[in-house]
Amino acid sequence: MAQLPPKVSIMKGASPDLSAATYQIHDESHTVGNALRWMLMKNPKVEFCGYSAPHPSENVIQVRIQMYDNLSSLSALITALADLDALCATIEERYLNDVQEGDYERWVERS
Amino acid sequence: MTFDSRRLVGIKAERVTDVSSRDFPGHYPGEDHAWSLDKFRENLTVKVRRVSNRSIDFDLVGVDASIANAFRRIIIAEVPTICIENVYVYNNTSVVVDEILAQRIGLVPLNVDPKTMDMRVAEDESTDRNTLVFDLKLECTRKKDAPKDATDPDLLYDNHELLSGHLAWQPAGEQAEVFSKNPPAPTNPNIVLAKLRPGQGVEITLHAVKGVGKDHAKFSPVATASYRLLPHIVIKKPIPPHLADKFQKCFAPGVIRVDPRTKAVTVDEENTRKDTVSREVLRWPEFEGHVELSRVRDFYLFNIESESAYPPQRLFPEAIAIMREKLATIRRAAEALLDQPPAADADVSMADA
Repeated sequence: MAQLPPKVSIMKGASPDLSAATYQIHDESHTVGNALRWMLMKNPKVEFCGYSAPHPSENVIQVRIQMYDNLSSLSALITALADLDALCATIEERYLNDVQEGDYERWVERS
Repeated sequence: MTFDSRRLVGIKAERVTDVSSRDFPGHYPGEDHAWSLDKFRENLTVKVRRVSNRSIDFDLVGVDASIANAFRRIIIAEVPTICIENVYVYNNTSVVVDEILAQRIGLVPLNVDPKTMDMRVAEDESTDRNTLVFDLKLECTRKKDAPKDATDPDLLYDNHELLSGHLAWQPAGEQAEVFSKNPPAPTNPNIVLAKLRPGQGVEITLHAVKGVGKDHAKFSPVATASYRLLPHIVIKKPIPPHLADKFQKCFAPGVIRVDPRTKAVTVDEENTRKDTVSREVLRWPEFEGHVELSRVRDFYLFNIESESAYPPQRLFPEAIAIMREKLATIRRAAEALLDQPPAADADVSMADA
């Protein structure tokens, strides 16, 4: 079997200090792409962030990040991933709590 | 309920306005919209509204469309289920040709909890951990004591319908023990797979494996997983009493209250979610300027209909877990890049599909 491409790679043309770079993420789609883009845009140090799924027969997305003050886009990416995880954890906790409380209408649906 | 006007998506007669969210740093001068988990916690509401044996309705308030949509997409395409993947036809004399019959059998939902099985990837061998075996054998015969003038196939023949209930699970290895409480079977035993007549029959062996909806829709655990935004209705000017009933009829039942005595018109805040936002009210000149329709941009009314072994309330946490797994994988890969800055002019490598 052919070797799997790396999950995340930095595409050609990135600035040497990574203050502006495009990341190619393998085997991901709009599901992660749009959520990640949103979280990166919530970072005030991010000048620009956009993503694309370049072609349906290529199983990748590309995330472009440009930073203010020559900061590293890679650390911004890692922070955004961590923040998204915290967001998911919060939603999960609230949902499970509410299901546990059981304060909802129950009904029977015939198959 | 009143909402900040920034949270509303305007609904006009022939267009919608303010669709995109604008809560980003730098959009509003002098306001801080940077990500803050504490602020997010404060604004987040998750409320389960209705649960049945097959579906769940819940509200997710205070998240961006990209987040709500990620969960919806994961539920549909990436939450795994067990489905029949390989069909070995030894005999099929029914009128349904092999490939059509195989396709139909593949779509039958099974009651197996996906947690109990491993994913069979690429050229993995089939084992009792990743494959379930079913037999499907049926032969249609004529009933000997059928009345002469009968036309009903139920009276004339035995086994004239091949049903999902005819799938017979064949335990292998440790499966007999693992599945002893809940033997693998279709969730609905009454799905007609083929119709048979005397002399026709099938003999088929089936292998069920774990898979995800993005590979084939049969693996999708849901019939639908969708969300809509909470409708918001504001009456700007009092509705004249003689038009009250007409006004009420422009909305879904229960949304607009009309006082039976004074004919005063009010919006039932608890029931605005029932509205279909048909915009009927905007078609009438007599109501022009009387009412403003909108939706709340971050108020998601989720509806998930499970069509698999998952109880409906388990699908959403399952999707969140998959999302977090994805994020963790990307994060590990990104952190690995920290240690090895890439060669500045490395050639572009084409990604494999």
